[in-house]
Amino acid sequence: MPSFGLSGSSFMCTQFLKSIEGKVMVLLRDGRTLIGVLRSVDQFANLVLDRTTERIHVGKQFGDIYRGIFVVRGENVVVVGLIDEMREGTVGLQEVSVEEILEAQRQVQEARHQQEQLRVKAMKERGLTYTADLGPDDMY
Amino acid sequence: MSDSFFGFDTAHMSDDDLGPPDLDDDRYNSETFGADAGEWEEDDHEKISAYLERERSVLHQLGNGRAPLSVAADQLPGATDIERGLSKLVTDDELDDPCIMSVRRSSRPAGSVPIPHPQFGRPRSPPISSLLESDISGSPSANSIWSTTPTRPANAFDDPAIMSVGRPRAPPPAARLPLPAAAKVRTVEELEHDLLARSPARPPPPPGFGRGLPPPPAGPPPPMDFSRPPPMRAPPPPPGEQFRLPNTHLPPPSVTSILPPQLMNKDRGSGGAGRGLPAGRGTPSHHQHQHQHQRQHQQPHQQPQWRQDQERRRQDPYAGLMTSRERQWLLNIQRMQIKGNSDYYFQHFNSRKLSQGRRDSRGGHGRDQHKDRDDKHTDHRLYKPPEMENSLGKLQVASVTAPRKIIDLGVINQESADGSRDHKEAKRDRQTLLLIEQLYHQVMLVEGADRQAAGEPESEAESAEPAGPRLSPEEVRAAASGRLWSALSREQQLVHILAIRKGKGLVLRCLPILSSQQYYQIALTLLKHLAVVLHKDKLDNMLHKFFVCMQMVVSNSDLAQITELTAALTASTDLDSATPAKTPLQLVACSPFGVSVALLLLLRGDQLCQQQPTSGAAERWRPLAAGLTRCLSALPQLAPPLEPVPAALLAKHVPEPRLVARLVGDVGAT
Repeated sequence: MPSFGLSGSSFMCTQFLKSIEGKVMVLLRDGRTLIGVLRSVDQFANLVLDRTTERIHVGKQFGDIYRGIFVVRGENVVVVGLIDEMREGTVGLQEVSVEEILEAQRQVQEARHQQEQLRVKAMKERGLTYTADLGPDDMY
Repeated sequence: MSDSFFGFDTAHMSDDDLGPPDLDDDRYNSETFGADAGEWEEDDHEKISAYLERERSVLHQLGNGRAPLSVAADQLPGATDIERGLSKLVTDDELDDPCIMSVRRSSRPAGSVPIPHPQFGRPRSPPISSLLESDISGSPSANSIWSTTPTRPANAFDDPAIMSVGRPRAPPPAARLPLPAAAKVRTVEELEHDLLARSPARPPPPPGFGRGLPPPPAGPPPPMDFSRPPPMRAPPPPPGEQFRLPNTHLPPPSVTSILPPQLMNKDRGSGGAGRGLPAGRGTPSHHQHQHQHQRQHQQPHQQPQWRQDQERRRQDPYAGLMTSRERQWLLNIQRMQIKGNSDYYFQHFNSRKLSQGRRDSRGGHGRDQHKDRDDKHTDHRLYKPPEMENSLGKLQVASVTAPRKIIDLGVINQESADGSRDHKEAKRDRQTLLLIEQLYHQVMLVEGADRQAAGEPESEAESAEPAGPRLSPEEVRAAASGRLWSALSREQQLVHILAIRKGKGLVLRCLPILSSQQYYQIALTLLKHLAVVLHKDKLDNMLHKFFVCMQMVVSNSDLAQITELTAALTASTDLDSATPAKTPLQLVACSPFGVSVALLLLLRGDQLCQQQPTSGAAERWRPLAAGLTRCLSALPQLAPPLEPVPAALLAKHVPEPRLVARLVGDVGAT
């Protein structure tokens, strides 16, 4: 392996390790977004998140639910990103209460569900069976 | 546990003199965890954690200036008693504890770390029960090494930074036992500050339960001289937290011993205990500050960095979960993964970087194509599509890396080094195979028609065939057999067909369909090209099935035909050749089928000849037969015939005694 490769690899490796003790946003396979302090990682990308909040986004609004400590199995992680706390306030999203956001989420999911129903019905009328490839539990 | 005042078994203490204990002497550990530590019940964990939680809340409130909750030391069982006892306890403890002794006695050389002292083997952890009752609340009178209130020299309070923190101030502990090595110890403020500077989120928790070695302070690569296995995490956060909280900027004395030696070295140079905090804010920590500034830009810098860190740490009991050791371990794993060249993403990342670098160095945008070409080139080299040719029917084994790995012996390739010729042959073979398929179809039509004519019920396959204008079976038969024969009558084509195993099967199958004349033609062709057919038959071994056919032909033929057949057999051979071994006849004679056919002809021919000795056919026959016999007997190799021929018959018809002898010998052997 050329020396460039090694320095490159350490560059890539250490970048992520520098997020330890930092605030990160984790996107999970089931679509959930967690924000917490990244305490520990391992080679499978299992994460230990401290002071985690689950952030639900609906449109331009979001709501936070405090969850405490999370240990996430690596296979369920889609993306992990370090949050720039300086710019966090400038994103332009409006924080609302948990009840509100849950209600909004419920509405969105209902709409989506209805869409699916329509799709299934349409397919059925044409003699085809429609099953979604990815369900709500595994969106990626 | 004996019901002693100290709460632990002092029986062992008696024989502990000032000398260094045995390396094998593991009594502390056994007392803590082993058979003697019978008192370490499950409740104790809960007790401790509950106790510590209470303490934490008390101190938290104290620190915030609020009135302490009623949950104070008063609620602790016999708190005053314990305090009293502790002042005594500490003294004995220190005497007994080898770590403390080592701290006192040894002049700490540069770079050495008192814990672990190699002389004493495994470092000692405090007896659990003593911890329960030890000074956790930060009483100034306690001076155990395991207590959390460190020595606080008076001048520590001169530092305005510390003064601004509303921590409970312990009066300078005049009652502290003199530590000879104190001169070498920096002020705890300095130490703590350096610690914080190095690892803002990871102050080293003092030795906890079962943790002989406190973990080193984490952070960007500090050149640690010692390496330890990642420490066990017996209940980490609560004890860590409770140890930390009362002393956010005053680490316990045990910390002095675990600090990296280089820190000690540097700061000892600046003059030990006399210096206040500003000295501690030396160069080594300064760049750490800058490093932290990069990461912690969220707060305006009203407070000094370390102050912020302490705040964070106060709120952050889980900070520092991942030690530098663990990070290094993870890095090593990642490096290992990358080193193996098997990481697709890293490969591409690298190649793109390289090409980018190249592009940048050369300048210009015309390099895109070059880059693409490079990529394609590398892709071609790297990507090897699976080769499935000639793989049908091969033995395969599946593994994770190679799901369709062929483990059969080397593919038997019919093609030799002679490229184009064998291409043609292969092509011709394929065409012949197609022809054979079509002829099979005709054969089946004929057979179906025959069955129909015989009155058998039509099979499903036959009825499924769209007949179009419904032909009678005879018509069908006639048509099919006509097509069949038109194909088989072509000599070269027949040879090709006979060269292929499937073709031989086809011919055998359609023999019943053909007329005797057609039979004969086929036999004639076969004999004419017997050498070639035999050569191709080496692997198939099907020619012997033709023997019955030959027998029929021969027995139905007259002498003229026999002569013709024999002539065909010997056509390519110079019967009078001096080197019969090199004639095609040798090839014929090497196979049992060839020998049998030759014998058949000879016998039958001679029979017929003797019946009509004067016919023209006989005249033609005799020299031929003689020549054949002569040649056969001269051949070095002679295969045994398929069916044994009676010796008498042989002797009667074959005039060559040597040949007879050889054949008889062979026959005798069979």
